Amino acid sequence: MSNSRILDDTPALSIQDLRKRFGKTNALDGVVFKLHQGERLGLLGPNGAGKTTLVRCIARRIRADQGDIVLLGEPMAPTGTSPSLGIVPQELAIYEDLSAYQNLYFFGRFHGLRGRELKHRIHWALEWTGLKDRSSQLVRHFSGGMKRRINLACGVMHSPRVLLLDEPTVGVDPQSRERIYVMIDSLSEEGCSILLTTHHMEEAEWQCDRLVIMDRGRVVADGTIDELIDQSVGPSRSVRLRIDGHSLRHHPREFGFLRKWEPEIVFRSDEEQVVELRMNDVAQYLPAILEQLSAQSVIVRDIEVQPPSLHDVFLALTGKHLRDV
Amino acid sequence: MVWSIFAMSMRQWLNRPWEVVLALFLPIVFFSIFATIFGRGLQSDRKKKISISVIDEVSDHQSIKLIEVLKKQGELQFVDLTESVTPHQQAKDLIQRGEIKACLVIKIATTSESTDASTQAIPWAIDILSDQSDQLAAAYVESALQRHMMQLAWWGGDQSNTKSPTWTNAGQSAKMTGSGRVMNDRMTTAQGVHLAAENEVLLAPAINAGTATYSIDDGVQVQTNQADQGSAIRKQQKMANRLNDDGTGAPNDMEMVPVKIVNLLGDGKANPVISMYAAGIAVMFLLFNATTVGGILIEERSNQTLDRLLSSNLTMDQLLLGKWFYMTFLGVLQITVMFVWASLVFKVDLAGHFDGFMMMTIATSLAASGFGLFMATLCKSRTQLTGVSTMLVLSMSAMGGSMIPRYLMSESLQKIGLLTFNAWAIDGYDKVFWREMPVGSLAPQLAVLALSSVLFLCIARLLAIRWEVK
Repeated sequence: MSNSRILDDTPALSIQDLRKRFGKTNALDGVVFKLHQGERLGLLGPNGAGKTTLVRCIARRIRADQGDIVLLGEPMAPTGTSPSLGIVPQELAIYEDLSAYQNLYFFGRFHGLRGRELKHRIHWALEWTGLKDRSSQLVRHFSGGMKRRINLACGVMHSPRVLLLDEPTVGVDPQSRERIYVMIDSLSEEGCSILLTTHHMEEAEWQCDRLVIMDRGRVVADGTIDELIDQSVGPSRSVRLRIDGHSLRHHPREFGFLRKWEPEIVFRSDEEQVVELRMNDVAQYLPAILEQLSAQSVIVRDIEVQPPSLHDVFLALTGKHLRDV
Repeated sequence: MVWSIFAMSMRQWLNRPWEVVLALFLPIVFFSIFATIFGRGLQSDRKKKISISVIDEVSDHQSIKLIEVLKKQGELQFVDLTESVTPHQQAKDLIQRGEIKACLVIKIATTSESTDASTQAIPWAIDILSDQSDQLAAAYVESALQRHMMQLAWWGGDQSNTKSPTWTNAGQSAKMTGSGRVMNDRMTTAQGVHLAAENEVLLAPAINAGTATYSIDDGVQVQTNQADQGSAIRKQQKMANRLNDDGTGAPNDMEMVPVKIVNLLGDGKANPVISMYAAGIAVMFLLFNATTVGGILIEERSNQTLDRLLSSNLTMDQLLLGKWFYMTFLGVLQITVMFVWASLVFKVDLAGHFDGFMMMTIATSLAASGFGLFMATLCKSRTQLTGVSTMLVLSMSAMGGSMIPRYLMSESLQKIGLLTFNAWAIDGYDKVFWREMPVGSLAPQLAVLALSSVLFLCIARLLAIRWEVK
C-alpha cells in the first residue's frame, strides 16, 4: 500500500442520514458524517449511543431503515461486502485452536487471497504484528495483547482501503497498546482510511485526526479536537490549586468568592485539599485569586493549569449521567 | 462460609433453567421410557408379534393337528410359504430379510435325532429355523411349541371338550386341567391311571412342599407353580411314552419329540449383539459429537467471528455446507475407528462388508451432521444447546435401539422408534453385518437417512437467515 492510494477528494466513507430503529428505540437517528481518504476518524459516544449499530450497518451486518452509505464514491449494496472494506471487531474474532499462521491463512483465503499473494501477505502480517517467531504457536497460548494484534492482522489481510476498528486496544496493557498504535500508524502511512471507535479519551485525542461524538443515535459533534473544544467548553482552562487542608475547613466563608468559577473542592486529607476552578482568562483572574487567598493566610502549595481535554468536551456534550442500556 | 458457597451455587443453578431441566426432568423422561418398555414385562405385548412359517414334511393327522392347534392359540402369526420355490430356501430368505422370526420344520426323526424312532410315540423331530439376533423369539417359539405339543399329546387339543386343556397364567401358578384321555393311540385308560399314579410320585416333592396339587378325578389335574411346570410336563411326556399297553411301567427308551433350534444366520459370525451394539453406540455418539461440534457455530456467533466471516467473501451457504461436510467426515471417521476396533477385538467382519458399511456410515453421518447443524442454529447459547441436545439424543437413543434392542419393546414402541435415526441406522447395519443382505436392500434405510440430512440442513439454513443481515 502507498499514499498513491489516495486518488482524489472523494470521501473514503460517507454516511448520509442513516436511520435504524429497534422496536421503540432509535438506534440511529439521522447520522451524517464523512471519513476522508487517508484520515483517521475517531468515533466516540457513551454506551448505547449507536456506535456499534453504525459500525454493523457499515459492515452490512445490519440493514439500515433509511439512508445511504457510500464507500469510495460508490453506494454500498444493502447486502454483501466490499473488498475495499476491512473490519476488526471489538471481540477477539479469531480461532484460538489455530496457530497465528493458520488464522492469517484462513482469513486471507476467506477474503479471496490465494497462492503466492496469500503467502506474501501472511509473511507481511507476521512481521507487522511482531509475531513471526510465534507463527506456529496456538493463539490460545497468546497474551491478550498478542491476540489483539492477530485480531487486527486478520482484518487487513486483503489490504482494505477503508478500515473499521472497533475498540482495538480494549483490555491490553500500555506496552501492547503502544505496539498497536504503531501498527495503525503504518496503515495510515500507507493511505488506509480508518474509522476507530474507542472509549479511551487519550487514545482518541492522540491517535485521531478528527472526532465524531455520538449520543442517542445522533452526531452531536464533528471536528478536530480544537474545533470540538471551541464548540463545547470553549477556551476555558482548568486551574487546580493544592492548598493547605486546614484553611478551607476552618474558614469556609472566606472562600465564597470562588463561587463564580464553579469550584470543585476535593478533600484529599486533613493536610491537603484540591480546589479545581474553570476560567476563560487565566492571566486575568488567577493572580487576583492567589492574592486574595494569600490575604487570608491560605497556603497554596501547588498550581496546575490545564487546557480543556477531550474528556471535558465529551462530558460537556453528553452529560455525566449514566447510560444504562 | 460453607453455607454461603452452598447458597451461591444453588442460586446460580436456579438461574440456569436448562440445567434445572437436565437435572430434574431428564431422568424422569428416561425412566418413563424404560418403564414403558419393561413395565409390563418382556414380551408382554408380543402376543401376535412372533411371525413364523411352517414346513410340514410329515403331513400326518398329528402334525396337521399340531399346526391347527398352534394357529388357533393366536400367539404366533403364521406366514404362508408359496409353493413356487423350495420352501426351505424361501423360509431361509424370509428369515434373512427379517420378515419372519422362525420357521418350524416338522420332519421324520432321523436315527441321530432319536434313539428309537420306531418306538417313539410321535416319530417326529422339529427344527426351529431362526435368527439368533433376536434372542427371545426362538425360545418363545420353542416354549409355545412344547406347551401345545403336550396338550396335543394328552388331550388332542380339542377345545370343545369341557375337560379340554386350558392353560392359564395366574401370577406364579399355572393350571392345566383336562380329561384323562390321551390322544396318543398307544395309551389306554389303564395307562392313564398308571400315569396318574406315576405323576403322584413324580410330583411328590412339589406336593409335599405345597407348591403343587394333584388329583385324579375324571381327569388328570395338575396344579403346580410355573417354575416347576416345564420339567413336570416334560417328565410326564416321557412317562407317557414309556408305559406299556397294560399300563405297567417299563422303560421303552421312547423319547419326546426332539426339538432343535437351528441358527440360520449365525455361522461363522461374531455374536450378533456385538455388531448391533456397535451400530447403536456409534449412532448415539455420532449424535452427541454432531451437536457438540455444532456448538462451535454458537461460539462463533457470540464472539463475532461469524460476523467477521460473513463480512468476507464467504456466504452463509458456503459456511453451513463447509461445516456439514466437516461434521460428516468426523462422523465417518468416528464410526470407522469404532468398527475397526470391533473387527480387531470382537471379530466383527468389517472387511467382508466394507461396501455396505461405508454406505450406511456415510448416510448416518450426513443425517447426524444435519441434525447437529439444526440444533446449533436453533439454540441461542451453548448451555441451551447442551440441555436440549442431551435430552433429545438420549431419548432418541433409548427409543431407537441404541441402548436396548428394539425387539424387546412393544410393537407400538418399535413403531415410535422408527422416528429416530438410530432405528434406521441400526437396521441398516444389521442388514449389512448380520443378515448379509445385498447393498440394494439398504435402499429404505439410505433413503430415510439421506432425506433426514437434507431436511435438517434446509431447516438449519432457514434458521440461519436471522444471523445474516438484520
